[in-house]
Amino acid sequence: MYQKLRRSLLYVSASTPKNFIISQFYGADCILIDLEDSVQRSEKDAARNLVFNFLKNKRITNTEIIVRVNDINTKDGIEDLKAIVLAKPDLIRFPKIENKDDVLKADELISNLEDKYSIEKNSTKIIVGVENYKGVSNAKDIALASQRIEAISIGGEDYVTSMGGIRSREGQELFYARNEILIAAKIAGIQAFDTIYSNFNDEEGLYEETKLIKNMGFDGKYLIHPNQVEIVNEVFTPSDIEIEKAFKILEIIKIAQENKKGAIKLENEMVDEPIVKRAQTILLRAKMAGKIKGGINFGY
Amino acid sequence: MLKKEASCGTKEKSDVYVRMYLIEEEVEEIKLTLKSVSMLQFGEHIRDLIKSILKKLGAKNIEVIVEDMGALDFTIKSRVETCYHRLMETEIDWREI
Repeated sequence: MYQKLRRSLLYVSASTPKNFIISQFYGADCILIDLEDSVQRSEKDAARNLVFNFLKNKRITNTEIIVRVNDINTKDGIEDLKAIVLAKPDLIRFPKIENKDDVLKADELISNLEDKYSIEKNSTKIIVGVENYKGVSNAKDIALASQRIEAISIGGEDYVTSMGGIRSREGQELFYARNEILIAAKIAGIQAFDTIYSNFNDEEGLYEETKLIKNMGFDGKYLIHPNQVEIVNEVFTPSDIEIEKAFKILEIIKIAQENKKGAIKLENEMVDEPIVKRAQTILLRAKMAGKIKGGINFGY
Repeated sequence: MLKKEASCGTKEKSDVYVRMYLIEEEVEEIKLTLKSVSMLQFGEHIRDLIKSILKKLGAKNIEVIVEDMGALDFTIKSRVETCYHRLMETEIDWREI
């Protein structure tokens, strides 16, 4: 189980300095400063410098700060790395990763920069963003390509476009890709983040989609509007009822182990290993979200 | 006589708009014109900050015009640095700034 709670990852454009500060107060677990799509080509140098100087300042909140750099196969992507590796955000997010070689290229560039800047080897951690059918089909190789990777994510809009499909409110067209990304993440032991929900006025749609991807196994979701933070955090934070039930499961498992009992029931539900693991995950998530104070006795 | 110019930033809230002009003849000191929405409270600080950034960059023989819309120091520093590198057509050495 991961130590970092990353339910909500809110995008902020690197071209608007006032958002760097404000965005840290919307309750998102991470802000994701974007040097890629939201910055005009002629302003890449200014945005890069702004992010660099912002990161060199003392942090004012505990919000994790992630920077999305430009495509590693472009000059801007390489220039971004020269600045951002030295500025040390919590994570660097790479877009348009299509295969293992893209990751190895990023890894090598970062290693050279860590060496040049006398930064601890392999201390720069990354997210790999998969955005088309090639990336999805290579997801497992991508996720396993570097020890720097802490998470893999799916860019739904670009992926659906690459498939020649149409993005719908319900999102069935993403079902296969989401599962590929999740399986890759589980094999590599890293986190998985889901794509944005682009209609920021559709709160019900966002709620339903977030519930779906949480149930599938995602760890968090990219967001494009501050209004989306509360909904996503709520869905990813275990409810009081879930927490109470999880504690009960651990309690009856402990009693059953003491009495050497095999088949265990809670109300009308069989309690077996997967149920116990889910209960443990719920309690860990609740603890990371600050809903449980003190330690938890997992019985192991 | 003005030879060449560059600009950086915007006139949006919490940003700063910086323009720089290369001057052909040698001048003793950088000519700085500052307008700020918080001139009374922070004018002196912003002026000192810009001068110290330009000094670190080794800037000379330039005229600088700054319109501050309530920017924080990191924004002012970034806009001045980028503007200067645009003017001189040089690349930033990130370890030097």
